[in-house]
Amino acid sequence: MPILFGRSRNSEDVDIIIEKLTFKQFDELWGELGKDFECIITGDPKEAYDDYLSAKHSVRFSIKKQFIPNMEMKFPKNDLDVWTLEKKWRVFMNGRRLFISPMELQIPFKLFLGSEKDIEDAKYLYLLFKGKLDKKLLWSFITKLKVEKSFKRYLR
Amino acid sequence: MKKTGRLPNIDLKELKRQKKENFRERLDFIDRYAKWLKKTPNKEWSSRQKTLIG
Repeated sequence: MPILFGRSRNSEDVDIIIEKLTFKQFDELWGELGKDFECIITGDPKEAYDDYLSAKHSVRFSIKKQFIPNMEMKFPKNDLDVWTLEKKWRVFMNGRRLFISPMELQIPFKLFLGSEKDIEDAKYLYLLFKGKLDKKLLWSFITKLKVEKSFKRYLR
Repeated sequence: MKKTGRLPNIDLKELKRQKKENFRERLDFIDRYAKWLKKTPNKEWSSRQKTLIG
């Protein structure tokens, strides 16, 4: 997401949460994606659905015959993912609409993940969006994810 | 101030377990990627790498 908003770093993948689908729906999606993309985890949609997505694992799709970059697709794994789908932000880019995770969650979650890259991303996003954030909501997630120290140390 | 509405339940222990699981999945992906790279001609993957890193 920081790359979407101009951060100059590279990435191998984009994480995508989709609403839980039936196998029939997923199979249709698989067919559509198959025109340009291929699943690099398995070539069998039933296995992708049963052994990966339904088992709370992700599957990855890339442009055919390319491993990188790829999209890491998953069904919601927890209530946080469900909430993210409910409260998603809309971004308009090149005439197309994208959905992204609300920044009030994304920034604390990056701090929760905690690698140097994640902390840098959190700081970057916070600096860009701090005037537009719902502060009460931001602090709810900072508290719930227990990242108060990181927030004060790196973002303030 | 905007209404915050429903807040998600967060099970930190479960979230930490999922973080570990995601890391394991990434390691698995690197394994697959390295195997793919080794069997793909250098000219092919390096030309795509050039596009990717600019």
